[in-house]
Amino acid sequence: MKDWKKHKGFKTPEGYFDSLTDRILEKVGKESQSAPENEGFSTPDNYFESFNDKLKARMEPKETKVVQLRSYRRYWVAAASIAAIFLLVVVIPWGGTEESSFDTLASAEIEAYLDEGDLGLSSYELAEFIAEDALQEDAIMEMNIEDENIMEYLDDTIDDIDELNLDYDEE
Amino acid sequence: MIAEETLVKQLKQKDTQAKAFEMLINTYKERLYWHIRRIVLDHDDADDVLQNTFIKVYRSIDGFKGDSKLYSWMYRIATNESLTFLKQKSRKLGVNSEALQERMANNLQADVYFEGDEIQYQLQQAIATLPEKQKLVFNMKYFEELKYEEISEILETSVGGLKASYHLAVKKIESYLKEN
Repeated sequence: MKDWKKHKGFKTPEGYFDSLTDRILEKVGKESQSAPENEGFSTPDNYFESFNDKLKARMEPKETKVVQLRSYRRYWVAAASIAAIFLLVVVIPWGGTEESSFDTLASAEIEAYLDEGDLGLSSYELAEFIAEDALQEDAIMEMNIEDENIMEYLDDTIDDIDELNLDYDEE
Repeated sequence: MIAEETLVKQLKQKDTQAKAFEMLINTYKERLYWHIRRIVLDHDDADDVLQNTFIKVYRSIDGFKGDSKLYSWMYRIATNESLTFLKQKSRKLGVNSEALQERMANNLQADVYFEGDEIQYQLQQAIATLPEKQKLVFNMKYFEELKYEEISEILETSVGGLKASYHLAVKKIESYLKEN
């Protein structure tokens, strides 16, 4: 066994070996936790010392001012009661009224709704919802449409009316 | 140092949670800070992400099953938080991730908390050109000196894949430094 206790005249400061382990551990700990020296990054002074407090402050729920509602409660109840009675008197038509149904709607209103409402359906798609027997084809076929109206319709809807090669009866 | 299992148990119990959490912060804050700092480069950004990481750890500790080591789990959270932070930053600035990396590396020259010399600055420029995965692996292996097995647990990638990523990263950095 190596006799390393023979120092022959050498000595150490008092308590040197007692504190040696702590100092080495401290140094090793610091080195392993800090960035390598050749990396270039640094932090503000005392950043790590103050980090815990900063984090704690962020995690604690912030106190918000509580507004007591209890003392105002009875005023609210009284005000709400008066408002409710007023509404009952004014809004409810005491004389009774006809209940609205599909039949009471004017067809103009329905047309306006279909025209203006964004149904997302084309007129062909809408037509599919109408039962065939309700279409009353005869009513359309038997309708007496003036030639003038037909020409007006074609004029509005067709780009080049001459392409239709219509025969005009020149009377 | 307290055993990991005991610490996790204390973190999950209401009466011991506060003290255990403080111990957890004291043990890991510096290691996680430097891990985050190498990804986001800026000190203020690293500080934000580190706080978010600990808050997430605190809120998710009940879900920690112990399938991996506690520090691997925390490193994974820190990595994900850093990458999410960078994605948000690039969206805010309206630039893609490559442009953001270049901008971050260029900003180092004016950063009061970067005291590196020209070579260290060039090294950071070179790292900024690496794809995300290679950059993470390079930092964890080269600067943080983690073992491949540890990195594998954190990034959930095979050791073989990590070795290939590290090898490619070193090659790219070498050629960047030669060219510049």
